[in-house]
Amino acid sequence: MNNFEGIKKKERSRAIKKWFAQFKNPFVIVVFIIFVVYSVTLIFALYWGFSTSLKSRSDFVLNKFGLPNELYVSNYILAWKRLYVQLSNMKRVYLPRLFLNSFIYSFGLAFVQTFSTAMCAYVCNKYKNKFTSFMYSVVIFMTVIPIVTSLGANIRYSRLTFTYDNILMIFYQNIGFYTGNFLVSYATFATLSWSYAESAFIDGAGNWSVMLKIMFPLVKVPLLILFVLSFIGHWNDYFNPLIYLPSMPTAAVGLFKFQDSTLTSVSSVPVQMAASMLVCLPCLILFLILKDKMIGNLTMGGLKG
Amino acid sequence: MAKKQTLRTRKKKEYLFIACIFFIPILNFFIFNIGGLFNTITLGFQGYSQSRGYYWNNFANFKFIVKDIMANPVILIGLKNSLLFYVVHLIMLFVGLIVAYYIYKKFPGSKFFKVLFVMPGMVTGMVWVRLFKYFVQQAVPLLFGLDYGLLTDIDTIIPTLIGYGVWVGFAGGLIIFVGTMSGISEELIEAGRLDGNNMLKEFWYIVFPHVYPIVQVNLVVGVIGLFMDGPPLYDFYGTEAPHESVYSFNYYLKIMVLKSNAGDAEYALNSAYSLIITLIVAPLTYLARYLTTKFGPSED
Repeated sequence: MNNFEGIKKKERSRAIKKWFAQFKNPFVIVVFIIFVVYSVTLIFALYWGFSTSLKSRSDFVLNKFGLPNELYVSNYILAWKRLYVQLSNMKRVYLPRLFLNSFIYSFGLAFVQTFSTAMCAYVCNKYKNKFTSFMYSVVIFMTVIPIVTSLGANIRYSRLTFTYDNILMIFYQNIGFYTGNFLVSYATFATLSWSYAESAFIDGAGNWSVMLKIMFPLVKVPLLILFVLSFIGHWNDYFNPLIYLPSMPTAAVGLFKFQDSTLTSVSSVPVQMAASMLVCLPCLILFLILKDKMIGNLTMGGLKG
Repeated sequence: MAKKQTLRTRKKKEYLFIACIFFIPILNFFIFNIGGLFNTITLGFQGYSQSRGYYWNNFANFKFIVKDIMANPVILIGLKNSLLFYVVHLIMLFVGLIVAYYIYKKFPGSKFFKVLFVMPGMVTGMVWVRLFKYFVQQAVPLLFGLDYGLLTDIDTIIPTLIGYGVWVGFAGGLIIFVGTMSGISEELIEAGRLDGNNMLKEFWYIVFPHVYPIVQVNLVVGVIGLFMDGPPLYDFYGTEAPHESVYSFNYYLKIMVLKSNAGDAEYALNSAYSLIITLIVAPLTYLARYLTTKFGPSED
């Protein structure tokens, strides 16, 4: 036992020496210091936001940086119950409804974009013919060519195509093949052997069965990551729902509009911070659960030339 | 014969399958992308009045824009600020590459930094805006004895917003860069090490060529940033930025459409601006693609 503990101790001290030995490299020292400073600013910002959200109004005025003198959880209850977005028809949409809107908007768009793009990428990668090669070229073309569309024209056109202020039509509009996810999905499917599909075809499976029951399950982790990243992106987006979905404001839109709130009870910085903490919580939790899968697992292939 | 029929049937099913998958995406592409582009182009050549509605005014919008650029200093200031942010954006692209390389090499603290640095992208941008805004408006004046917050004093707004952009964009592209670097074969790295590669050589001759396609896409697609980059003024101020000297060109175009008294006439002018930008940026994008392909590294 003593021998075993001795070996463990030696391994630990070797690992510590190896860790410190990396600092012989000046690049590592400089970058490490910069990273530490940057990390401190990020952590301090989050600590400041969280601690402010737990302070009373007077506590915040007298004590801007320190820990709360008293935990004022009622800021969260106030934010949940009192903060609202006022629509053009004078209807008020409170935070719970904003959260629901965010969930519907983000989930729907993430689902539609991820899976429609993945299906197109799958077909382009596995069914090589003139048509699919052409579609692949169109994607590259759309990615590279700078077409600047005007915000005003987009708003007008969204009204003409019935997508303005219509969540179902917005979902439909996003069934496509030309998003950045296409290239990531394409690269993912490129790693899959077609022999799985060939075996299934021999057993009598059709194209749909092969795609949905064999190939997609094999890439469910990258697809899930793409879905989650898309969900987080749409949850955090305030501009598009603000412009194109005025009667269905999301939590991010709420955060944008809350800063103009003149209600005494909710215009205080601690309550606004409490609302901010509530809004960022779902994505933060998702990220912390899936962080190991997210980082290092996605690659964007097929971009040469 | 039976085998030929089976093959023919299978091919028919395959084409039907491909058609089903692509039918709605292609339809949407024509309706929303091509249609949207057509709408922008046609709107750029139209004017609007209450009595006539939309009407063709040929190049009147473009003539107005040329006069506006000559007479309105806000546009040139906006272009200058957009260019400034574009340069910052380019610098941050390469900073992101260095951050990703550090994480990929698993240098000290990389596991912790990897998680922390991706967090700004996971949290709603408005939260960071809030945190940053309250900090520079309330805490910084208190700490340094200033009379105004950094976002109130016109002289400090642009540098402060550059600071914000650097702060939230420090590890931009981390996920995709690290993912791509992770695909580099260990044998290649080992072979380089045996040939006497130090860290710099390894990065320059092995890692950078591997991630160069992504860098190239960012550089090429990012040319549009010459006009469309800029400080996140709308996030911080809505349509009420404190002074025109802090406008970016993108913000100028945005508030043209979003201010409370904007209407269809502004939509048409906005479209004309977009067409001019596209005409300028399109050849620049091709030039960027040509230069980055000619002078960039290759994996070979």
